[in-house]
Amino acid sequence: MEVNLHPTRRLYPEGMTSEEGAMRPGDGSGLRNVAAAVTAALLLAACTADGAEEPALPRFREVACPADVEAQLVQSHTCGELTVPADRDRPAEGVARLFVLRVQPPEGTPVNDEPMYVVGNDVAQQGDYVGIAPMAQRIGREVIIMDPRGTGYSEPALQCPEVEQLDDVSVAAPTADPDMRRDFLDAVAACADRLRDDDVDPADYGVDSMARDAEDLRAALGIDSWGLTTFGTYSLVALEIARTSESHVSAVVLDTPVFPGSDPATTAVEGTRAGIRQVADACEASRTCSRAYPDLELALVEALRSLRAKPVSLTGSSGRDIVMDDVLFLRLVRQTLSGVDLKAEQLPALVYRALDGTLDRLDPTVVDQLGQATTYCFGYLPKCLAAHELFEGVGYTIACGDMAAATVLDEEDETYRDAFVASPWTDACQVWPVTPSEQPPATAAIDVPTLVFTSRLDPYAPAAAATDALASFEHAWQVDFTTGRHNLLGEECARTVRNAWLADPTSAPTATECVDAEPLRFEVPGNAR
Amino acid sequence: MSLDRKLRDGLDRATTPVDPDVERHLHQSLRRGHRGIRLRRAATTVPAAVAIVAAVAFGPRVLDVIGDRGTPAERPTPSVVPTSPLVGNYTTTLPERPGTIAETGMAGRWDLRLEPNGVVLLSAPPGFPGTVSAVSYEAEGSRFRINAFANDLCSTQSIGTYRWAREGSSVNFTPIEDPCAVRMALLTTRPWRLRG
Repeated sequence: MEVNLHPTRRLYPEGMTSEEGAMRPGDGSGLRNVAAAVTAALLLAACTADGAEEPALPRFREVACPADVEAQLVQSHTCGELTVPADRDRPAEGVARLFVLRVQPPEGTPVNDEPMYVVGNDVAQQGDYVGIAPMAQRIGREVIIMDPRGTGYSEPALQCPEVEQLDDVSVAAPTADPDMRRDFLDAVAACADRLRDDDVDPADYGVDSMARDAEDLRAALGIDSWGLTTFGTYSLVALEIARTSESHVSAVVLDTPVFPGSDPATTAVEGTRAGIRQVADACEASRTCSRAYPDLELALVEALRSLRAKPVSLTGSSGRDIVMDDVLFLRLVRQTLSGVDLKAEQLPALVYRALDGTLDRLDPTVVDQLGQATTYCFGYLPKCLAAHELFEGVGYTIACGDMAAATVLDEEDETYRDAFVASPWTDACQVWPVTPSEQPPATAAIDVPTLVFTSRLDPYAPAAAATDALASFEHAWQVDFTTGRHNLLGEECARTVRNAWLADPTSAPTATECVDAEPLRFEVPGNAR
Repeated sequence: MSLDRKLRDGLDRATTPVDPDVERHLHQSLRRGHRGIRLRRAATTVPAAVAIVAAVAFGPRVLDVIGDRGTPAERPTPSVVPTSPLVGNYTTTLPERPGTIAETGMAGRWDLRLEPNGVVLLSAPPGFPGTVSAVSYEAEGSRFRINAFANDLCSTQSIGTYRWAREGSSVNFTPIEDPCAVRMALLTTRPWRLRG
């Protein structure tokens, strides 16, 4: 809690200095005057502490919870604010105020005194307080959520309304449309300019700063050791915390993560291809699916070729015009594989509609996903609807500064190349003012018990990439679902595995019988299964 | 009360009675300064100056130490223990009915599992578009609070509060306050029958 010392300022009207006051003793006791002077000086110090010269950073204080948090959380909770230097190398030049939510487990449940720190969901996306809070009940620990700098209730927020103004028109032109892409780049540049005019340096909103914020929070709360968890691509930050503050991290749980050294283009190309292969294999193994959709991979190749030659115009229920070319369709395929707001089971039907030229009869909910998505988000980030509030600036900073350069520049498939290698996000890095990290942090040094959930369908966090990265971990276990979505901890099975593992994180996970218990149930004509 | 709060409250209390004295002394000093004796002025000025410099230079850091650093924030109190009589598995079937049920695709069988730790496992009929995960409840006496659909269909509304009562092998929920029509339709349209 900070005490408000402003009332003492009335003692020092403008122009009055210490020389004019306490430095000129009257005819009373010298001791009394010195005492008065000391008192005055201390008060002056107090004033400066609360005013011109803030108390040293970082500092934590409790604050009232935002109305939506208060209105939606059943669990006992408090909110706080961690104030840190925006740039730790220049601590006098601005601060970041980070929103903190602390959720308590219910009384009477088994309680582990070591909190679990939620690093975040997916990069640049709004934290899901309601969704995460029940973890406190499930694992019997305090759960601490901090909105990563630049996002959520943390200030400043790195949103780009300049880019969001293009939401309505960005899907009305092909993804590679040069005019649209120029407008997008102008908007990204305008966002960066506005932030810098407000003394916000986008380069301060990357992985390293976020990891140090977490460490400052841990120290400010007097926590010796905690567990870390993420629900998506903020794994980059969790791994950085584990790497740099290993002695204070007892366990790490990563749900559908990406790893340092990965690059967005390669992840997209390889993850999408692997997911399609997985669905194709599952469809082939299903009598009904294989009868309705005999060769999914070939059908997709043909459909992309057809849409490249002749894009299809669609209209969403919101009235937004959509030009479905091959690139947007591939982005839609990627999103469908992820299981976020769409389902992988829909993919064969979707591909064959494109092949048959009947996309105009596509399930309206699918078209609406496109119609509601934010600019160049769909197919690039896992969550793109308005409900998943996006903080574009943080996305650009991490994509351009913290992730490796694309290694698939020689991609031969022109649709994949246009969608993911020459993507709008790649373009954005030309104008977003951050310097790429030359050497992403190695994962080899991490020696913290780590549990990783992956899905072979997930094109945003490919399971194969996780397997490769975990080879260098000392104590890591990968629970690999052959089906399942991005953000597996949204389902009961992965939660059961996690809850059991956290009780003994130095051992292999048990309670994994539920993994892959649910096969894909494809949508086929006539609703046959 | 946290140490931080106690220290700051103490500082508040300490400064409040001091304020008038300091102001009066400063004014007195201003009025009488010219009549002072040079030697006495020097004798008092030097330590005062040292004190001021020290206080201004180190005061903020001292206040930091007192106020913000090394004083872990208090943990919030735990949630209320869910009432054990409610823990269990329930089911209900919502009928096709115009209004909220039809508009939201809610008709069909619903299963509700209230766990001892306050977690709710909810399963919806096929086609229901809402999110049924991440639901929590709290029960105290006959009051029952639940945040079902807080992620989407009820996202702009506050938690629902109900009174629950057992009737044979069923539980009835009566709304005390719930601004969300979908949640109210789910809980109050039909009794929830205890399974197993």
